[in-house]
Amino acid sequence: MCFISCQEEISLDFPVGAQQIVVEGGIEANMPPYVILSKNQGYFDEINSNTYQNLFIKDAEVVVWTTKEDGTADSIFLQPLPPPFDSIPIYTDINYLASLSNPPYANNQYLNNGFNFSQENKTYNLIVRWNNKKITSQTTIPSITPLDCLWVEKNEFTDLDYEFDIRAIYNDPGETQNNILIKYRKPIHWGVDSLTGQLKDESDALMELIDAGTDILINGTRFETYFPQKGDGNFPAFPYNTNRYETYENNGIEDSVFVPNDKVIIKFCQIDEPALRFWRSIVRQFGSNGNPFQEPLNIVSNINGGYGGWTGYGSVYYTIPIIDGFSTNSPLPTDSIEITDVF
Amino acid sequence: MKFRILIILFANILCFNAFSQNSFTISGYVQDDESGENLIGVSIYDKLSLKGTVTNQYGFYSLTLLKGKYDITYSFIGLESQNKSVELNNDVRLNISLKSNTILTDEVIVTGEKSDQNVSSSNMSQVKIEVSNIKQLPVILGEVDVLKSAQLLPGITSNGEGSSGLYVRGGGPDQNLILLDEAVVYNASHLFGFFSVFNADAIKDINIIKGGMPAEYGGRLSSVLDISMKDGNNKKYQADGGIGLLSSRLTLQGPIQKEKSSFILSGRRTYIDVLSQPFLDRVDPETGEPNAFAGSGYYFYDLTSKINYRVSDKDRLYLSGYFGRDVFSFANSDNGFAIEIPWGNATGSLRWNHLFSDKLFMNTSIIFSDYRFEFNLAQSDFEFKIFSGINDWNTKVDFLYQPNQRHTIKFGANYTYHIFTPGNATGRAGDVEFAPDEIFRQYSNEGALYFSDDFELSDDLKVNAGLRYSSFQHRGDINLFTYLKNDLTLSNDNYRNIEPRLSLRYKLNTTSSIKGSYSENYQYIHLASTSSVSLPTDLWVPSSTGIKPKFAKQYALGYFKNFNDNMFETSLEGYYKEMTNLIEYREGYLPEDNTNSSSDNSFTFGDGDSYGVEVLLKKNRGKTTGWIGYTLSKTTRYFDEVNNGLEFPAKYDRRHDLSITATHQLSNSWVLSGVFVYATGNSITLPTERYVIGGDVYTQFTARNGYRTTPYHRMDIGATYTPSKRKNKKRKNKKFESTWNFSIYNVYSRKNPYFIYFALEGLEEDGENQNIQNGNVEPKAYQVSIFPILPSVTWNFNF
Repeated sequence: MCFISCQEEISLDFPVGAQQIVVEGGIEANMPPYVILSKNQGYFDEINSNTYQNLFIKDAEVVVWTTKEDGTADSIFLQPLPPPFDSIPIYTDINYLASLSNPPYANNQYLNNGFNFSQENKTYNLIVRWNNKKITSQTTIPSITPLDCLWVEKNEFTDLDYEFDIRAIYNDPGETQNNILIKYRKPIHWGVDSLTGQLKDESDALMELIDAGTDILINGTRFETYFPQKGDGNFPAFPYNTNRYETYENNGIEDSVFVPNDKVIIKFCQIDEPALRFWRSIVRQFGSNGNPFQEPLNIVSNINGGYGGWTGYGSVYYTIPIIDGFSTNSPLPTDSIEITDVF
Repeated sequence: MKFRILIILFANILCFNAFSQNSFTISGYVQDDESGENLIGVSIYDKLSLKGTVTNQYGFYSLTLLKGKYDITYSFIGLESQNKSVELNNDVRLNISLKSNTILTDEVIVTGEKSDQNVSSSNMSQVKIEVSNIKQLPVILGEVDVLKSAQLLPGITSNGEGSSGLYVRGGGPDQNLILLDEAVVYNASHLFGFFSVFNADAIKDINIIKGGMPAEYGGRLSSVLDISMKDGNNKKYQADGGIGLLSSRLTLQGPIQKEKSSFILSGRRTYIDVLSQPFLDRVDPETGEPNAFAGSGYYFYDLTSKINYRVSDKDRLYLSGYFGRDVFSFANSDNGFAIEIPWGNATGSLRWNHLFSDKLFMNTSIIFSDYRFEFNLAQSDFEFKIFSGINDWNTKVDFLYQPNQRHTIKFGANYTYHIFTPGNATGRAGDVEFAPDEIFRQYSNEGALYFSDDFELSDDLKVNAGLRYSSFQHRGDINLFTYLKNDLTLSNDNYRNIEPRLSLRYKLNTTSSIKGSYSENYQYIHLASTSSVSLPTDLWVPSSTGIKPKFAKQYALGYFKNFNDNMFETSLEGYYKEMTNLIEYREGYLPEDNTNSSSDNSFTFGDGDSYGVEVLLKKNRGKTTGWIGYTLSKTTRYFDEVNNGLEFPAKYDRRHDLSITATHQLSNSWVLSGVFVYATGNSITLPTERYVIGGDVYTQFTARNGYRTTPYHRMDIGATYTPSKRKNKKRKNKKFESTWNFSIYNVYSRKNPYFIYFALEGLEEDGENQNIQNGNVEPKAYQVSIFPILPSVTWNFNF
C-alpha cells in the first residue's frame, strides 16, 4: 500500500484536559513503599528537560495504611528522598531509611533492620493529598511464586558467539489464576562507541518493564521459557552479551578493546488484577505506539481520582551474570536487593 | 399495536375464499431466453388494469385474476417485453423466455424493477442494484465491487477510504444480514476490508433493504443485503473473464443437460504475491545469502459454484457454494520468525423449489456457513496459534402463497445451529504444549417463524404486515472469569421475542405515493471489535446471560414521485431508529480475558439512535442514466461505561453524505461513467493529554469520537469500450467478445484522511529507551491518505 499513500503534517484543535495527579507507586513484602507523583500535561505542550522537571510533584502529603490483625489501622507517611536523590522526587519512608546504619540509601543497608509493615497477602491503601485534591488507591501484595531455575544459553539466531539468552523453567501454580509481571535491569552493560572505539557504559539506571499478563494459558503448567528485553515483542531480538574482544579502526590502525559481560537483574512478580490491568495497558500502549487502527486505549488506572497505578508486588529477584553455562535456582536474599530495583 | 396487526391480517385472510370462487391463476417461471437464467423481479401485469406481480428470487410468479380475457405483459429492463393474451377460465401455467433487447440505450438503465415499482410497491427503503450497471461504473484498481456500489446509495455509508464495510442508517457492520444464495456471509471483505468477497461475474441480483425489513428476514437490526448467484447458462457453454491490475477472474457456465440442468463455476485470484515473489526470493548477489523475507506475501482468492436441476415442472434443485480465503504471511529468516494469517468464508446452500399448486410455492433450504480466522506464529521451537470463527448449520422453509392479485402471503420457518469459537489459543515451547483440555466453543439454537401478507385494502392503500417470532437459546454453561478469579457457571439462556413488521403505501395518484413503515428487530449474535476498522480478527459472540440480544425499532416515512413516464424516480425518506443492548469492548479490555473462555466479561453495553433524511433522484432511461443520493443524518451512542457515560457520536456518524453517479452511452462502442461522493469526516478519538510513567510518555484520550476529520470527497471517471459489437455484426460466426474498462479513481487526487497519527519529534534514542528528558520534544500530527489519483484498466472477455 505504501506506493499509493502519502502523509502530511496537519494542525488540530485540541480540548485541554483538567490537571490530574499521576501516580507511579508500589509496595512489596519487607520493603518500604514508594510513590512518584507527577502531573499530566496537554498533548501538544512543549516537552524539554525544564518542563519535564516541572511535571513532578514535590510537596504532596502521602500516606500508606493497612489494617492490622486486630482490626486497627497501621499507617506510614511517605516523604521525598532528600538531596542529592531528589532529581525525581521519590516518596518513601525516609525516617525508616534514615534510621539505617549507612544512609543515604545504599544497598544492603536498610533491610537488616527488617520492615514488617509490608507483608504478603495484605492489602495496602494509598492516600495522596495535593493542591486541594485527594486521590486514593488500594492494592494487595500477592504470594511469591519463584522460578524453578535460570541459566544462560547461547542465542540460537546469531552467529556471534558472545550473544546469549537468559532461559528459565517456571512451574505455575494451578490452583490460582495468578498474574505475572516481569522487570529487568542491566547494572552492567558495556558497548563500544562506533566512532571512537572506546568502551561506553550503557547500563540501566532503573528497572524496565518486560511484560505483564495472566496465566490463563499456562495455568498449572511447568515449562521452559526465556526472558526478552523491553519492547522486543516477546522475542529475544536483543540477546545479552558475554565478554569479548571488539576490534575497531582508529586512525587507520586496527585496535581492540575488551568488553566485559553483561549482568542482568530480573524481578519476577505476582500482582493483583487491578494492577495487572494497569500494567497491561502500559504494555499495550507502549506496544501500539499510536497505531491508528487500534481503538484508543487509555492507561487503565487503579487510582481513584487520578491517573497511574499503585501496585503490590509479590517479588523475587535474580542476578544473572551473562557467563556461558551459568545457572541458578536461588533468588537474591532480601538483604542483597538494591533499593533502586525496588523503587 | 401487535394485536391490531394480527386482527388486520386474519380479517384479510378470511376474505380469500370469497374472492377465489371466480378467480383463476396464471403462474410459471420467467427466464432469460439467451442463458436460461431465471429472472428475478420481472413485472407481470395486466395492461388494462395494471394489476400485477413480480417474479420471486427463483423467477417464479403467480397472478390470480377474475375469470376473463387479459393482455398480460412481462417486462424486464434490458430485455424485450412480451405480451400474452390469456383467457382465464381455468388455471394456466405459462413459462416465459424474454429475449435480449436490441435497443442499445436500454442496456444502461439502472434497475430491473417494474418502472413504477418504487411508487406502487408497499416496500420502502429497498433498492435493487443491477450488476450490469455497476460493472460500468469506475472502479478502484479494476475491481468491480458490489458493496462499494451499495455505498453510493443514500442511507448507506462506508467507514472511510477504500473500505467495503456497510453502515446502514446508523447501524454497525454486524447489523447487516449479508446473504449469498441464502447463506450468511460473516466477513464480506478481502484485503482487510478494501474489497468485497463477491465476484460480480457470478452474481445475478442484489437486493438491499435498509428499513421496514419484511418478516421473512431477521436476525439483524439494520439491513439485508440479499445476493443471488447466477444459475448458469442452460442453453450453451460460455466463458467470461477479466484481467485486471489486482486480480484475474474466469467464469465458466453451461448446460449439464440442455434446458434441464446447468452449472456455473467462477474463480478469482490476486497477483500480489506472485509478482513480489521474485524479489522476495532473490539471493543477495554480494553475500549469496537468500532474502530474509522470502516466504512473505499476501493473496486472496474466491471460488463460486452452482448447479441447478429442473427435476420436473414443479420441482427444481439448486446446489451452490462459495469458498474464499485471504492469506497473509510474513517470514524473517534472520531470527527464524514466521507468521501466517489465513481467514475466509465458506458457504453452501442446497435448495429445493416445489410448486404445490399454481398459487403455492415452497422453497426448502439446507445451508452451511463458516467463517474462520487463524493466527499462526512460529520462532524456532516456539509456536503460538490463535483461532476463532463461527459455523452455522441452517435449515429453512419458505412458502409463497398468492391467492389473488390483492394478496401475497409469505410464511415459513428458519432454524440455525450456531457454533462459536470465540478465541482459542494453543502454544508450544520445545516439547511442552500449552493447550486447553478441549477447544472452547459455544453453541446456540436460533429459530424463527414468520408470516406476512402484502395486500391491497383499496386501489390506493396497500399494506405489508407481518410478524416474526424469533427465539435464541444458548446451549451449555458459560464460564465467567471474574476479577476475583471465581469461575461463575451459568445455566442455559432462552430468549423469545415477537417482531412486528408493517409497511403502508398510499397512492396519491398514478405517479406518486406516500409510504410508511415500522419494524422491530432482534439480533442475537454480535460482532466485537477492538479496532476502529473492521478486521478479520473481530469476534462473533452469541447472546447469553451476560450479553442480551440487541433490539431496534425503526420508523420511516417517505414520499415517492415519478416523472416523465417513470423516466425519473424521486424519493424523500425520513427515518428514526432506536437501538438497545449495543455492544462494545470494555475500556481497558485485555484480549486474554477471553482466551479459551467465554467473552461475556469483556463487554459493556449501551444504547444508540440514528435519525435522518434521505433523498434519491434517479434517471432510469435514456442515454444518460444515474442517480443523486443525499443523506442528512445523526447517529449517537449512549454507554454508561464508555466516555464517562456521556453520549458520543458513533464512529460512522455522518452529517452529510452525497453521492452522484452517472452513465452515458456515447456511442455503440463507448459508455462513459462518473461518480462523485462527498461525506462529513469520520468521528475519531484523539489524544488530549499525556503523562510520564517510568520515564516513558503515555497518552490520555478523552471524548470518544470527539473529533471530526476533514470531509471526504472524490470524483471517479470511467469508460467502457466494446469493440466487438460492430465487428460481430460483420463476423457473425465470431463468438468472442471483449470490453475494455478504463477507470480513474480520485481524478483530482483529493487527499482524504485514511488515518491520523502522532509522533513525538526530537525524541532522542537512548540505547533501548526513549526518554523525554534528553531532548526538546515536539508532538506533531500527521494525516495519512491513500489512493491518490489511480488509473486502471481491465480487459473483460466472453465467448
